[in-house]
Amino acid sequence: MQTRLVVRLVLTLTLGAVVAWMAAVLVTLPAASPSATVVLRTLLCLLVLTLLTRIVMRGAYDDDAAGRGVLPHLALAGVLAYAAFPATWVGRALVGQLVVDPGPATVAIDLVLWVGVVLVAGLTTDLRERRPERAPYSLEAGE
Amino acid sequence: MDDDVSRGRPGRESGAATLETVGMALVAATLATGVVVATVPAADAMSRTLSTRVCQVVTLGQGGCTTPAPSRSARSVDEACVASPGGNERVDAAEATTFSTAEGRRVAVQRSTTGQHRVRVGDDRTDRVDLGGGLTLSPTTGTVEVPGGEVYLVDGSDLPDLVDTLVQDHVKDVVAGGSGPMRWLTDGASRLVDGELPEPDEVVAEGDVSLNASDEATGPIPRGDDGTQARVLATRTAADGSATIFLSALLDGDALGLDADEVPVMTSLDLDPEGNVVRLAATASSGEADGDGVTVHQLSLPTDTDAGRAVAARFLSAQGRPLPTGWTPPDPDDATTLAADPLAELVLAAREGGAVTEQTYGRPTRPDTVPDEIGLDESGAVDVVRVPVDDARRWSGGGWADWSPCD
Repeated sequence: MQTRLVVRLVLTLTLGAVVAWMAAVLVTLPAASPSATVVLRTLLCLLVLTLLTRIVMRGAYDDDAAGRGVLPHLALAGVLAYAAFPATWVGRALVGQLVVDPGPATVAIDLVLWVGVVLVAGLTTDLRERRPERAPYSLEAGE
Repeated sequence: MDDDVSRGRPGRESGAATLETVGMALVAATLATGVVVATVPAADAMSRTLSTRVCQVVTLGQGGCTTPAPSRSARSVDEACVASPGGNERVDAAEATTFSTAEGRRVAVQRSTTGQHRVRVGDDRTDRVDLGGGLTLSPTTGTVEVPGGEVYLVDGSDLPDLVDTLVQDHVKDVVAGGSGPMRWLTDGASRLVDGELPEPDEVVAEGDVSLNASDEATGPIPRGDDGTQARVLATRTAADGSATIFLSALLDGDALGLDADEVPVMTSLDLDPEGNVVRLAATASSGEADGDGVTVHQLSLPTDTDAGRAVAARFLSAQGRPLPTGWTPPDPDDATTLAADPLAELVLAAREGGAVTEQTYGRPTRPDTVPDEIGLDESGAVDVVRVPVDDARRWSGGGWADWSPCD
């Protein structure tokens, strides 16, 4: 997998998650229920992560046999996107804070969820196979 | 090349584009709704209803989702029932509505006789009713105290909006944190429709504001001639720059007409925005809540005259308190003034040139109905405590007189 694809995944997932996170907060804020906000933001963020990962990965070429080389790159992209997501910095990215108070524990819980969703979405996407293009001409052996 | 590949879609991916399109449409619809909720003022009522429905769905009906109620107009001011500018008012009953925010802080809302609502946000979990001037009464223990926190003063029509903004601000604290990029984004978006949480009208710093703290931290606390500051119970700083300093001492109760050698007396010093002490007030309570009720004795004396300052100086000096800057200490050789009971002297001076009142609070009750002007859903954890005033009197023209309530 190309480095460019990892960068594209990181940027796409981070921005998509920010938009989904904000949308969930804005929709539920008037109801003044933190648990509703946390649940909806988690659902929307995971949905966006799944969709965007699949969309980006579909444009990628499978350069490695049986996807063995995709896993570490997907994991790297997932971790980097999670680290770049500002809500992570305060331990309030996904659903972790419903379990424990925001802090290192919620960062870890949300990381597992985030990277897991990215991996599942990426690994279940069929990549494009790189095929040698047929040359529009053929070289004939000289007579 | 097989058929799937020839269509540009691998076999396992059949139908994936449709699902992804539906998914993206869902996200886009949520985002569009969020933008409408945040930016279109006319959609406010609609957004609250929608938000409540979304909240009920995602929390499976367990989320404590609120639907604010419409507001009610405020009543006009009646000065006859107000004993002092510091907030000593004759009330028919004191009723405080208390609830917890998402962040775990307690919000107490109480309607004053002027129709204004006093919204106090703090960490104190004891049920209290406001007595005015920053003082509160615990109806169960009968004690007068000064709990710390922030106080907002709003008219009835603005109360639901303030409560909404307060509650949502604390929700944002929980879901987005107190600071950081996501909090900044959330504040920016929600500010478009609900406005920003205003600066509090008063901030009460509770306890142990002491000698060694800086001037910036302690505010205008009186300094003694030796430069020391008094250790004070609390300070209250108002948005207009005025302040109140609260001191506590055990004093002889005879002067207040109480059959007790020592009663805890709360002394308040009101300062104007320039730092001048303009009023000294003293408050004490007697009786028992489960007996004949708790009587709150309050007096206030303006200190903008030489005579008023002299009485106040003797009262403070007798407690070993440093005097405010510019005040003349009592003459140690003046046996007449120092021999007198400073509290008795203060009571007499307040009767002549200030205000002296007594209000007896009866047994507290806990109504089931939450005042709809606050705009809170009754399904949440909201506590209402109502304390009737059974008797009230005010010193007037050389004797006690009935003190009529405002409402």
